[in-house]
Amino acid sequence: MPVVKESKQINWKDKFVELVVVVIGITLAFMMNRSYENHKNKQVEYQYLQSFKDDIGSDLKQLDTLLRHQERQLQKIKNSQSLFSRSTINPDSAMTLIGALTTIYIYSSQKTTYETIKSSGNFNILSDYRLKQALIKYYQGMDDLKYLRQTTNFYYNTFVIPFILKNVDLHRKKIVSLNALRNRRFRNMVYGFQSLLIQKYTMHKELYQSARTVMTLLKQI
Amino acid sequence: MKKYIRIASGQGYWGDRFDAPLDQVKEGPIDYLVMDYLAEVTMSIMQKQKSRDPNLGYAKDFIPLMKQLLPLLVEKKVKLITNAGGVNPVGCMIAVRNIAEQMGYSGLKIAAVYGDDILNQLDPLIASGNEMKNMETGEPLQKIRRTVSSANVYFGARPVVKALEQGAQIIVTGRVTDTGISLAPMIHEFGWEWDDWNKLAAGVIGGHINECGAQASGGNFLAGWKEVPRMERIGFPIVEAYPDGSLIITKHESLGGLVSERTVKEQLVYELGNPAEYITPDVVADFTSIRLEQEAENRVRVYDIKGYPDTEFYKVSISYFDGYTCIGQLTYAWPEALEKAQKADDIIRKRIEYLGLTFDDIHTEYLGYNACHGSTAPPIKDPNEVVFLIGVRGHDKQMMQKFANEIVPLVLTGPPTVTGFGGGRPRVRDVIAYWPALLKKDTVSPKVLTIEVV
Repeated sequence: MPVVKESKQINWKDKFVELVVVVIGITLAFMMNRSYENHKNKQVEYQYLQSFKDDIGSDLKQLDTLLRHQERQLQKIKNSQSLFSRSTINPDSAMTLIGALTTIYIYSSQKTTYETIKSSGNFNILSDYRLKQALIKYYQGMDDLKYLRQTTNFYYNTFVIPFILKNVDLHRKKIVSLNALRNRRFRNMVYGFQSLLIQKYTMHKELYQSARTVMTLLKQI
Repeated sequence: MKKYIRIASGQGYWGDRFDAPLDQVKEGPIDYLVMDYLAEVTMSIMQKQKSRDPNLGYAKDFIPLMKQLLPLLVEKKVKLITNAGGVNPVGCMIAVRNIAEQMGYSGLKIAAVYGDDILNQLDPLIASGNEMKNMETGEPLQKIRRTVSSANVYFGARPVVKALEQGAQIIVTGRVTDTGISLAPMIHEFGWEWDDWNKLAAGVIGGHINECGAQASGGNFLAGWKEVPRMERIGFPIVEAYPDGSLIITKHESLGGLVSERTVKEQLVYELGNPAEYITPDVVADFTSIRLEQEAENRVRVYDIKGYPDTEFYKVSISYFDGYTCIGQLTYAWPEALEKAQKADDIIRKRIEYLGLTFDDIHTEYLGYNACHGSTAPPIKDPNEVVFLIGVRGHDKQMMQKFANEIVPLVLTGPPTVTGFGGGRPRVRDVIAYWPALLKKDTVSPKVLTIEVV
């Protein structure tokens, strides 16, 4: 039986055009997908940026007020220290000092956006490198403050509060015995507390500066 | 400027001889006393203590020591720098302040150096691209993040110098390098610049010689331990530092010990990686440049030291929970002590198999026979006694406990003539592993807090 050989001509030109069309199609699909993803990411980024603006704006207001209060508190403690060298103690000045000692200002930041972006693993969605670094610095500064806050609270509970409870009639707002203020322990308690407050004030000021940097960058975007 | 200053080592590690720092202040003139408390794992122990009680987290026995030491420091105007503050330097400073107040000292300034504890900041640091890869394996910290129990940056001399500038006589720090606490007084007293690398390197070498206490003055001295006089009251080393960066290593004459070229050399090579690049936060010191000379009895001159600019990184010491370990031991008496111990090992291993226990590692040693030198130890014919020691390591606590229960029963179920089981069942202990990493210097900043006792 004769073998019939069927020869088939391959049209390379058509095949090539087909291939090019497929490649272009796939590339276009990828590009569209990427563009869609970018668009989506941009929207998410925009939402995060707005949210950060709100958080930092609120933090700045709070820090501003806090710093002013702390300045006044430190000034009062500083002024009252002249009491220690006087022969007679003015009860009103003494009460001013006690008032300054019994106040602890606590900074409570709005961390919702930061916590959300961190836990969702979306931090890299923020495209501005400088902003990312500034945000990290600001929120890291807050964690940095944690230890000092704990220590100040410990100091307050261990030294300040027991003294107040023992020596101040809180109901009448009067010092039971002014002589207690002449005691070395009291002076050391005041100086120690003052050092901690100054350190805390300095750290709040640094945080304020960091927050302002973040806000400036947020506004530029 | 002083012609020289004398910086005395008071302690090489937490648990070192208690009266050594007292002797250093009492027995002769010194300007500074430095005391090293912190090893890598210590921070993890302190962090654990602090998590139970936020007022703790520093070397607790430093406080009773200070009751004895403080009067001497005040009387002799000696400054103390120590990293006893652990993970709570401010708490430690307040405890010292209370002692000073009780003793009636006024005008005394006490400083705390802190900011090295980055445990709370690990997540933001990782999020900002600081992977803190393990320096040995290259793995990112994220891998073990959930089991991390402490993370501390090694600060150098800078914050200590700041505290000295603020007039502090007692400086309690967190994780400051062992060398940094000795280098700081030299920078402060001689006004060395922060880029005077050769002098800074000299200070680091002085600190390295001081950091292990008596190891530089005859303790643990391999090349001639029999020559060391009066080890029962060994004198700890003193670094006599000069403004030009040369050092004299010495000790108080009234105390025992020995300071020779060989004792100093042994200390110099301790914990040394690349000798040409001893990296510290302040400078990179070249140990190959060091020259030594026995100037007089117990006086060794160290000079010609070269140094290079510091790197842009801090080293970070991270510790993490890495499972459990349990080690049991029994002593077997002559005759055939080794065979009995080997039989006990065989029984325990078969019991482990029978009970279906699995461990990451099982390790046996025969103390008194070849535990130190292994197969290179010459054989001993029928030793008088052998201590059989078997340890396991794993991540399943229940299995560890089952293993612990297997040791004591060997007394009546295994080979005869066993003793040394008075301690009962061995304890299952946590394994705290070490994760060395690097962190850019600009991501953390040391803080100094000084208070004055009035």
